[in-house]
Amino acid sequence: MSAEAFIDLDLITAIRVIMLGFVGGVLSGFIGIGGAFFMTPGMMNLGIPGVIAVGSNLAQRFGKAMMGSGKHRELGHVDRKLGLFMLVSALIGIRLAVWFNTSLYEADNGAANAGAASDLYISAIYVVVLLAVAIGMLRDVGSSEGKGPSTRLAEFFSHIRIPPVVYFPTADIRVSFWLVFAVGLFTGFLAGAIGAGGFVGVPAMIYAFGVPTVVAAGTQLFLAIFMAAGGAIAYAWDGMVDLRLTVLLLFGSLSGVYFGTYGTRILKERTMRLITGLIILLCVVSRSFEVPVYLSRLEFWQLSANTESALSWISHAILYTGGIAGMAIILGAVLRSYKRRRAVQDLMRTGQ
Amino acid sequence: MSLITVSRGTYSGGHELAQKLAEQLGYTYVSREQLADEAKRCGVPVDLLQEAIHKPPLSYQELAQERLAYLACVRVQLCDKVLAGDVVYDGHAGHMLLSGIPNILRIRVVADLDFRIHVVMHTMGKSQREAREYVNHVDLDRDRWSRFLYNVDWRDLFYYDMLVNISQTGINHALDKVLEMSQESEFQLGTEAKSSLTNLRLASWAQYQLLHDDRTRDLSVTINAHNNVLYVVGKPQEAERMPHVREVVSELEGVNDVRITLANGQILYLQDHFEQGDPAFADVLTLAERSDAAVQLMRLAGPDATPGAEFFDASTSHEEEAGIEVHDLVHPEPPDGEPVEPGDDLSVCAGAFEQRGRSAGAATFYGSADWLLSHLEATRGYSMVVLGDLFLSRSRTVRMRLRDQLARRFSYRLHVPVVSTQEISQKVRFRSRDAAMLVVLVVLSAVVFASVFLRQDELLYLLAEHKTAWLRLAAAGLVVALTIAFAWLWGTVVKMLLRLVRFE
Repeated sequence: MSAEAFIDLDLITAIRVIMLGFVGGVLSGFIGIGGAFFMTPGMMNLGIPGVIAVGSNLAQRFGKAMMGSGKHRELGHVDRKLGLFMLVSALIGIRLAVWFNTSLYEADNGAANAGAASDLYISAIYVVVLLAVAIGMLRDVGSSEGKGPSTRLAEFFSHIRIPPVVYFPTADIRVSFWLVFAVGLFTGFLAGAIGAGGFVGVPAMIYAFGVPTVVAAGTQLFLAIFMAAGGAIAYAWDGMVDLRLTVLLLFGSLSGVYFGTYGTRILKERTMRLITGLIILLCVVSRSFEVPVYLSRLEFWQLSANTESALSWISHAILYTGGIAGMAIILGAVLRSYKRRRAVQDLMRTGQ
Repeated sequence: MSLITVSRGTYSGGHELAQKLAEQLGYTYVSREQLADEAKRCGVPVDLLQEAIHKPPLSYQELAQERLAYLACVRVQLCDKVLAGDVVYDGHAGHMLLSGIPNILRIRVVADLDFRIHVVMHTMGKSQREAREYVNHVDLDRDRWSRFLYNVDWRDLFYYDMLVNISQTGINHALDKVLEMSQESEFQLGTEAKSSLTNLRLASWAQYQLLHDDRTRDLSVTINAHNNVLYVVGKPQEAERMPHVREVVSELEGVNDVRITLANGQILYLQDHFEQGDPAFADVLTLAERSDAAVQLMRLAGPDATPGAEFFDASTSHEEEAGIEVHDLVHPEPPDGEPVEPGDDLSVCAGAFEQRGRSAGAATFYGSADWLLSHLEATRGYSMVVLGDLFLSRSRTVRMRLRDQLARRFSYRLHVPVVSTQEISQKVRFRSRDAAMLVVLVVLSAVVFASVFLRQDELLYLLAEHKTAWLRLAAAGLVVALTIAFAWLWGTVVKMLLRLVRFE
């Protein structure tokens, strides 16, 4: 790995990275998951190699998780036993993903299409996984009439009793060790590959294990610290973390995360799912516009420079439209809520 | 008027004990099954609820409205029966149905496992293995049921006044002991309890009606009643639907007025003594406004303040009753945001909360904090407990130790954050030393920023040009250390800035 892989960071690019961090921070505070689903493709759109974008993002995720790890634990919402069981397999998954990512990147390092295979691989996983997540969320909004997540999967998996079956006291569930291991491995692999393991970890705990939502979110937060640390160290070991980007992302995301968290208190769960699902869907559409560009660089087909540039521009436009619109909706709701609270307080004071 | 609740595992002799108690005392015998049947007649899907406890926890999260409807319905039924005369209630954790009602005699009946297996083998004709499985299975179901309804471990002796081991004492000896205890004055439901029952019935009936009206079925509201007035706490985001709530409940028999407060949570604020002008009091008010919560003030007068140690709820107290102070809300002058005159009145403090739309009532509790805790169900809906100046008669060191112990117990039992007024003060107030700290942190953040961006070439070389394993290790260590340091520095700066502009 050479230092030349890191981009030249001028003031405009630095501000754009901070903005990416801020929007990602608002969205992550709102959704309760990392925010890499927005920040990673955004960084790739700035010309940062995907593998460095993921590595730098994991490092900022680690810092952010360290700052927010206390609350759920205080409330008794962390199943440490479940977290530890998942962590072991997640670390294996992360190491596998990092090894695969860096190998792909270094295989064509120095060639004219340097990083294209790695970027294509990251984008492909990103599109497939997040498309499934977005569809799942939007389907839930449409079908469950706000009654909360479906229990069908949890009921199905509760019949899988491959020994040893382990009891997790805080979540109050009994699950086959192998199921936990598989979910941890997959979560870790995704965290290492695209920096967004929480998208699988939280729903898997809720839908497949039947863990109560608050415990799933708390346990994922607990897990995220170690997973993000493991991922960051693994990428740093291979020289794939750009600390400048990590610091800029942290600067933006730590500023935005509180606004997103506030948003969760004022919007209904159904609205939250709808907004989240749509934002993720737009991120997926945006990334899918870059896929033909990577394929062209890998000489699967030939696209003119103008076409490549147009596709990249559309990708940028969709990503920023989705992210900024989502952020605007959340910040708008926060502002309206603040005004409404003031109005309610005035009403209480005047008694009218 | 008396109420004895008997909680028991299957085939532990508790059922027989409850029936004999009712027979000997001439009380009405009421079982959980009878109440469940009546709930079914009211249209509550009891079978669905009982089925759900065998499924993953997620399943019964979906049944929150049905659970509330069940609780509201059986509470009304049980209140009616107790108000009509003396009752022995046979069911697990039945006293939690009447959470907050004082002077209930709460009996927990246990028996050795071998004894229970033996009884099952003889009465049901099962083998020893089948009998053991049966007992364990039923016990587990009961545990799940009480956790589902009240979020408590019904086997926890903390919630009982008397433990009876039938396999050791025999049923007749146990009966004698319970009969003897039931005659104690502290287990007679006085006028305060009767008033509380009436209020609880009214609040439960209103809750039940809201859950059966299409306009209000899915609203998140909590209801308390006091002196024929219903206190409804609803969510601010559902403010526009509150008129429907008023329409549904205001016509109910016995309702004179409906007062609606909008808040996202409820804070229980415990203190030995409330005094206006106390900065801690203002901090709690600020916290309530920032966290969008209503505050229930509870003055702990201690068990010796009045004989009998009556318990009552802020919203279910009754001012005419002897031995209980009820605090009508008094609106102080000047209102909102301005310094208030020093005073010595819980009522005035509560009035200040109501003026700002943050009041969930006020009350004085004549008993220890532990006794209060054993009467609170974990599903009561508090989002936070604030411990103010407690144990004032003790030295400062002892006071702090006792308060820390109490905080742990409240947190363990109610599963909510418990904070002291000192901690709140640190959180909500922005002092000059905080400003100094903010400046230092901003400078340190800038130093980290500068060290990263003024030496970019060297930094990138260290991060990427790995000639040896030691350099790799150094790069990984640098990433971890710098990330933690900057996240902490900048994260704290942002938190402090938000505190400064009163946005949290």
